[in-house]
Amino acid sequence: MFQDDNEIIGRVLSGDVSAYASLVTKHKNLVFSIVLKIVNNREDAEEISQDVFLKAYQSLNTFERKSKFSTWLYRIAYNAAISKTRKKKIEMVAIEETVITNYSTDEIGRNMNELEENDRQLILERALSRLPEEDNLLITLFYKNENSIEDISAVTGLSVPNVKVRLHRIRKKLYEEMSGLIKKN
Amino acid sequence: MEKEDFLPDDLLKDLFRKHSWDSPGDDFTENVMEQILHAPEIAPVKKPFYLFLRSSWPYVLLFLVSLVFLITSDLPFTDYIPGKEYFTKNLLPYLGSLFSGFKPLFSSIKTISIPLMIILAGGLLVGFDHFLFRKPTVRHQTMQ
Repeated sequence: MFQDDNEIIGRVLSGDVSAYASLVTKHKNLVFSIVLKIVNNREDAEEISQDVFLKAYQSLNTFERKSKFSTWLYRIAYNAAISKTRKKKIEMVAIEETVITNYSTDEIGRNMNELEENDRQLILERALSRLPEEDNLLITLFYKNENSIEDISAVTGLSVPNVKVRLHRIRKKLYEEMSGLIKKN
Repeated sequence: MEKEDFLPDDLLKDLFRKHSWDSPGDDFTENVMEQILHAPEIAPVKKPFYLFLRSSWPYVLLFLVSLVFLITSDLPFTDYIPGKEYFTKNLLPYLGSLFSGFKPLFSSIKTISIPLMIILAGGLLVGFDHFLFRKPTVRHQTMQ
């Protein structure tokens, strides 16, 4: 059972450095996933993730505990990954740019339900891999990690309305990709 | 809650729930802790000066100092301050005698100079600043 993050941080700041290991163990998969989705290389992602935890440790005094530790940590991870790949931050997307597409989510849902679980996961994996890295990250944070719009905004630095618009677009793109992959199968 | 209202999608939720996270190597945590043990200590963070103004005691102190200033001044409107007469007649002479008690301490110092006063005042300010804005540094302990 994981302890409360703030309790562990208190112990680390009191001098019990070994307590930090439990924070690393608790958050390593998500930090690694965030970085991997952006840099697209496991070795780089592992190295950057280690740097993220080191940086977070050295900046632990600056964490004010007003937000969740995870949000603060993911923000460091996101920035480190973006900085490594020298990519610009996700650009603002105007609502009118949203692409109108012809597909039925119900139909895709029915088709997906007819597939074996392994095939469903394979299609999701492939559809996600066809999305731009940042889009992949945003939708994963929202549906997999169940982060709120505000949390995603804090991690990525995007405004709340922009996160909403992007998620709408990404969800559409993801359905389009899944639809295409189902048809190919 | 916004999370529940915005973009509900049972299909995606179900797919993502069963979708496993990527995970780093087995020795990831050990590697991070190894780096941390060899890294510099957590740097102490100085609070920004304006945080000082967020606490209530500077305002209480300012109020008390202003009150004493007004009571001891000869400004006409200060006559209406309740307790002024009691303060000036009873407490002020007592405070005066209390401070004059310190006089022998300083009168025994024969050599006093402006540079020495500046150094003493500077030292007091540094000490005060250190006391107000101190932040504990974290020292590494042995791994258990």
